[in-house]
Parts: sequence; structure tokens; C-alpha cells
Amino acid sequence: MKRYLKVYRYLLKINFAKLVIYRTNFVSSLVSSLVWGIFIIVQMLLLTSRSTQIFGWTKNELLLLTGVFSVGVGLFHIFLTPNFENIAALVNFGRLDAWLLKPIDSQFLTSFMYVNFGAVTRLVAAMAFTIYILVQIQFKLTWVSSGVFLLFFGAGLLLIYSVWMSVVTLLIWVPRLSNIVEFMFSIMGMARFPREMFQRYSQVVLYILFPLTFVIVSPTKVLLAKATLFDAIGLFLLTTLFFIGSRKFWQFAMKYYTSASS
Amino acid sequence: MKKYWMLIKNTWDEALVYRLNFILWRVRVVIRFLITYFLWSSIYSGNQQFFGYSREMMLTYVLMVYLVSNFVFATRTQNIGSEINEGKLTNYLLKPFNYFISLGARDVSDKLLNFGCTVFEFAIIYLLFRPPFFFQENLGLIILAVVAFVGAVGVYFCISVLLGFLGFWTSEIWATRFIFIILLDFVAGNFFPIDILPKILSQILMLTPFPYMFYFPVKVYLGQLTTSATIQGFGVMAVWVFLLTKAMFLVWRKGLKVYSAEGR
Repeated sequence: MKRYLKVYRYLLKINFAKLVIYRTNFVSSLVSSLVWGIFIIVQMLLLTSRSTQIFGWTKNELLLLTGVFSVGVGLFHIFLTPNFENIAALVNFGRLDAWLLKPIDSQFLTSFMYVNFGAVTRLVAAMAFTIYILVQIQFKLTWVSSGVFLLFFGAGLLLIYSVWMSVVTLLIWVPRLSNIVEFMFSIMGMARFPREMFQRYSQVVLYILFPLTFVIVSPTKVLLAKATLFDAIGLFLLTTLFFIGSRKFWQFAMKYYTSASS
Repeated sequence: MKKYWMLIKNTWDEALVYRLNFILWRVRVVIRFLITYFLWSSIYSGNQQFFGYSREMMLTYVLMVYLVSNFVFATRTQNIGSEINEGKLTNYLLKPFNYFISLGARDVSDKLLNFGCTVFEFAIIYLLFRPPFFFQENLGLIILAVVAFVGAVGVYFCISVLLGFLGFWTSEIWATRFIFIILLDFVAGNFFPIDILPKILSQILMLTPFPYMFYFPVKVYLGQLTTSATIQGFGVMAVWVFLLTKAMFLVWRKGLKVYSAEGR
């Protein structure tokens, strides 16, 4: 574990150096990331502007859900997105060979090699917005509530990572399916809405998206002191299952990696 | 004309080579639509009127934008920037056809393919969710909506090509296009009708080219515009199509002077 933390520290340094080299790209990322973050928040502000309740959630509760989602997605885009975006090219051009030869876990390297510091604006804006909403709803900050929230939030992030990892592993067999990353972005966007929304309109959609409905909703419910046993068990059980599943699936997929083009 | 027909055919075949990618793209579009549909539907669950729209009118607006946007947005012009940056533009310049007509031909193919899928998806969504859809019976309005729809395609085509031409001067074009696409949700009426915004803001937006891509054609279809607003809308749209076309050719000529066919 210590060795992996040390490796990650070096990876952060390398990525930071790259950021300094490609400055225009970095500024573009900062701006576009911020605009997208603001869009998500304004969208919810607009939808809740004339209603007191939607799907049984009050306006502030929905805004808090949006804030927590934006924080989660901000972190995801900084640490994970650039890596998932890269997997198709890694497999397609056979570059994964070089990574498999390194004395380090291939899933770790595939998941954490790149960092996109450009998405930091979105994270900062999302955190500021979430804190503002927490003040609005007069949230009482205690060690216990913060700790439980962080535990749920961490589990939510691990769950979304595992779902992504399971899906992008398919690229080992179909490396030309580069669209899958875009597809997953849309799927992930569903996590910013309450479970009740899917429940009301389509049971089929609900079943398909079931794991995602825990990622952000459960931690947000902790902040609102509304988390039920179902939210807790659902989140931790799904996280465990998906994490183990994604790990096994990656190891299985490695047996079929054909090292194309190299 | 035969060569452009071949271009249409090739673009069609090219899209179908990576069928799974194409299917995933369509699923993604449907998911995006369903999110918007579910949200508006929920907001109207306890209200008959909201933002001056009935449930039927708002959901028809959302469904119509889905139809229109899938046709307007379907384009190959998003590749122009990278084609310039990678020197692939040279391939087109050396061939004996007009670059802009070839862009149009590729777009026709993409639009036909995407619109065909959209109609199919629309039918499934309609059968599954039975949304309250307003069918316009006034033939005059339907014809006007089709004309506005064609204008919308022109406006988006010119803006998208202009964004691509930024590639003549910079390789950092993705962020501009990304921000443009996000802004369209707000300023073009892709996510909500412009007229739910404060009056002064919607009036200012109507002077820009953006609402003429989605909002205006759909409003004409719904018959919610007065005669003077319709005439004014078509007037502003025509001015924008003219100005953007002029700008597109001007930037093209300037761009070719600095084009270095990098990497070739």
C-alpha cells in the first residue's frame, strides 16, 4: 500500500509537470469544466424555481443533491476520467504491453496514470455551492455526521469507479468502442436525480440504473439525516459486489489481451 | 452531382461500419432526452400551468426539440478543426469537388441516418410513455415550421463550420465547441423554452442566432407566436443565415492563407 502511495505521488508530480507544459490546454479545461459545473447547478435552480417539491424532495434538498453530485463528478473528472478515456487507445495501439511489464498492478496503473487538474474549477465551485446550501438548510456539522457522510461518499465514489471499470474493461475485446466513455458519462449523469424519478416513470430504467441511484443519493440523505437502512445496506453491498466484480473481470480480461499492433 | 452522391453514400457506409458505436451514440441521445422528459413531466405532475405552458404544450415542446435537435445537431462539421490541425484538409483540397458542398453532402448523410433513428426512437418513446403530444393541424403552420427547420439547419451548419475553422489558427478548439454545446442548452431553447426567462433576457436572446436553431421552429409548430413575432423571427433568422454564410466564406479564405498542411 505504501509503495502504491509513493508511486501515485510521483504520478501526481508528472501530471503536474505536463500541466505546466500544455498551459493553453489547461486553461481550456479550467473554463470548460467550470461552465459545465455551473450548467448543472443552474439547470436544477431553474427546475426548482417554481416548485416547492419534486419527487418528494424539497428545493434545497434537490440543490444539495446537485451540489454533492457535482463534488463527486469533479473528483471523478480530476482523477479517473482521463484514465478511462485513454483505455481504448491503450488497447487499440497495443500500448498496454508496456504497462503490463511494469512491476505494479495493471488495474491500478490503468485507473490512475493520468490526472486532469483542469477539472479543479468544477470541484471548487461545487464545494462552494454545497457549503452554501448546507448553511441554507442550517446543517449542524459534527464529527459523527461528517465522518458518516465521508464514509458514504467514499463508498459512492468506489461504486461508480467499479461500475465504470467493469464497463470499460469490455474495451479489451472491442477496443474500437471508444464511444463507450461518452455513453458512460450520460449514464453517470443519471446519478444526480432522486431514485423516485425513475421509480415513477419506468421500472425498467430503474432496474438498469439501480446501482447508480445509490452513488450520490445515499450520501446526500446522510447530510439530510434521512438515510435509511436500505440506503446504507444498498450502497455498501453494491459497492462491495461491484468492486470485487470489476477486479475479477479485469483479471479475466487480461487473459484475452492480444497486444495488437505491437 | 454523382461525386457528391457517392460522398453521401460513403459517409452512410462509414457510419455503419462501427455499428456498436453508433448504437451506443443513439442510446446516449435517448438517455439525455429521457432525463429532460422525466424532469419536466415531474414538475408538471401537480400543476396544470407552469411558466405559462400547459403540461401538454411543455412536453410537446420537449419532444419536438428532441426531433429537431437530432436533425440539426447531426453533422460531420465537428471534425473540421482536427482535420485542419492534422493536415487532412489537404485530402479535400486536392480532390475535384467544392469543399462546402462536400461538407453539405456528408451532413445530409449524417442527418438522414440520425433522423431515421430519431423517428424510430420517438415512436418507441411515444408507445412506452404515452406523452400528451399536441399534433398541429394547421397546414400553414406546419409548412412555416418546416421552413424554420431548414433555416435552423443553416444557422447551426454555419456556426459549426466557423468553430471548426478556428483550427486554422489554434489547435485548442475542443473547449470552444464544448462550451458552445453547453450554452446551446440555455440560449437556444434546447433544455427549456426561451420565453420562460425574464422578458428582457428572452428579447435579447431573440436577436442572437441561437434561438433559431431549436426554439423558433418548435414555437412556430406549436402556433404560439403572433403573426408579427413570426415575421420578425423569420427576418432575423434570414439576416443571421446571410451574415454567417458571409463570415464562413471570409474566414475560409483567410484560413487557407495560413494553412500549412501540418504533418503532411
